[in-house]
Amino acid sequence: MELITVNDLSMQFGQHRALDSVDFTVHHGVTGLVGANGAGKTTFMSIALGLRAPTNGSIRVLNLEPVSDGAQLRSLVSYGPERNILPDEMPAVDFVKHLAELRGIPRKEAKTRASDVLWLVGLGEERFRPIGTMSTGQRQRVKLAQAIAADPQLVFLDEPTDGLDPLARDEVLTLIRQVSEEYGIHVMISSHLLEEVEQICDNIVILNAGKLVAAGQLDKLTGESTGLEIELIAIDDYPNSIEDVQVALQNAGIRVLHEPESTILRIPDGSPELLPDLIRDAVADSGARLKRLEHRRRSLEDIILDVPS
Amino acid sequence: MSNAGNARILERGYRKFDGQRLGIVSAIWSTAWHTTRSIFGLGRKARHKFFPMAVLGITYLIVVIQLAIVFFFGGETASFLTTDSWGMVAPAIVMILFAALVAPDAIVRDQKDGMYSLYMSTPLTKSTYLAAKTLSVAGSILLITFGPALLYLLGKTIKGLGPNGIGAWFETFGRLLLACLLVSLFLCAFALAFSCFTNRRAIASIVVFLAYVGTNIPSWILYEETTIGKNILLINPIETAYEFGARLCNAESIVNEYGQISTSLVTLGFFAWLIATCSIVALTYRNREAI
Repeated sequence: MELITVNDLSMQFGQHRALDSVDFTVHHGVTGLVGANGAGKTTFMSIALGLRAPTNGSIRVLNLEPVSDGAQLRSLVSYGPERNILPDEMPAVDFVKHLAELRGIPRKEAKTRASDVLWLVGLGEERFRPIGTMSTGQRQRVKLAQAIAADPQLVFLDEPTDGLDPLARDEVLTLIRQVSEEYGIHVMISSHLLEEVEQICDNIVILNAGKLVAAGQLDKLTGESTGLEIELIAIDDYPNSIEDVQVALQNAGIRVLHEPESTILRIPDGSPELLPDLIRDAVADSGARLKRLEHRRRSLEDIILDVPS
Repeated sequence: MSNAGNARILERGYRKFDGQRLGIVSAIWSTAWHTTRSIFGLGRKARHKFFPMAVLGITYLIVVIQLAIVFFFGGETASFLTTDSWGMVAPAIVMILFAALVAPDAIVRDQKDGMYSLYMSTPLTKSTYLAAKTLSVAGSILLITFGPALLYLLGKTIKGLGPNGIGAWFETFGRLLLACLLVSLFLCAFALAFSCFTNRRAIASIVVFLAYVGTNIPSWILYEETTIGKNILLINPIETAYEFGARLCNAESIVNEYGQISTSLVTLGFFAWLIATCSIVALTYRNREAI
């Protein structure tokens, strides 16, 4: 199922090109919109919500055209803003209820859903507290609660872990994953933190200065092997053991990369059939101990770094 | 004895919503109601209730005391009830004070606390958002324009001081309602136009009041010190609106000098100001980024 289809999308602000002929498709699940600050993430979200008309190209979200079908689209999608500023005096439950009503939920239903969804995000006991008295982590949960209270098909969350400590960040990411897996709500999160995107996303869209770097399923993008990685344990009795393994493999005609002081050897050119046997023999002969042997996969960082600047 | 009859399910978990979603009209009403509650400080700290409730309370208290005196003592005390219907509407200074208090609260806070972005992520558009805010602000102003005047009209009717006949009563009522509606709408547009540039509520209120003073005083100076003539008074938006209300109600002019200006010019002046202030608000929001 295609949630978002983007064709040759460009957005120009004066001399600045925020999005430059971007093409990609977003499928179901959690999608990470990744890029540094100024990459065009928020601009893309505002276009996807129908709040801005693109300078060029087209976009369809849930098979609707965001600008002409904006009101209809925004009753089916939700948005959690990046800024952590919310109405301080309003109790969380009133805030969530009000936004659910705006997205078309009848008043009584909105009231019960607001409570239920605040329980879901772990703020059940705190739901009558004014938002201004809440911590940053609790505010992020309130933002998530308001975004899912109206049972949207798709949620846009702009930097949902901004300002959180690692523990709170993991909790919010787990909640987002839960929302997608258990309740079938598709989520697009924008982030500049690659590790959190790798942690929870099914799909990924990487932007750099308005240009598309990569887009697709995370497994497919990072799944291609880029050789083998051997991690060894240095043994005091055999101080040259790691270098010995390297030399033994090189003597067998295999290209081996080794950074000084590192315990990791990298074999970038795939894996000939006899390679495991060669490694086993080289390690045994050198007196070293093998800690890890695995196919090396590309990280998001590798994907970004592979792009010519 | 079991308390099972009082038992409630507190947590029902997340559920899909299978019902019919309400449309844009519902979103507008919801926003207007939410804004009106906020304007009067309902669900907020006591200090937010003080000013709007004080202005409203004093306005209605005066009406109630006057009506009570008439009903309890009658006779000559009823003479003020014989004034025309527009004369019973609160003075312009009270109306602009109230507008300066309520309008900034309706829109300025949304800029400051991020609600504007969230509103724009719902089915509301910039124009429906402004419609909701106008509904709320103009409705709130109507409470001090039409509310007291209606009480006076009812008191007058009960005391048998006119209007005479059902037709005349409904004509007076209709004119009064239309005048109050249009003047409230204008006060709303005027206050929104001068408060939509900032995200500081207090500054917005001061700017609205200064805009009133800044158009009032020069209009009188130009009228009295130059030979431009009486029509120059139409550059004073609030007094022009007030005079327009009086003309709609077939009432006496608020100030003699305005009485010398033709009704068509007063009407033209009123709608010119209404369109100008509405345009300022519309243009400001057209260029305002939602996210």
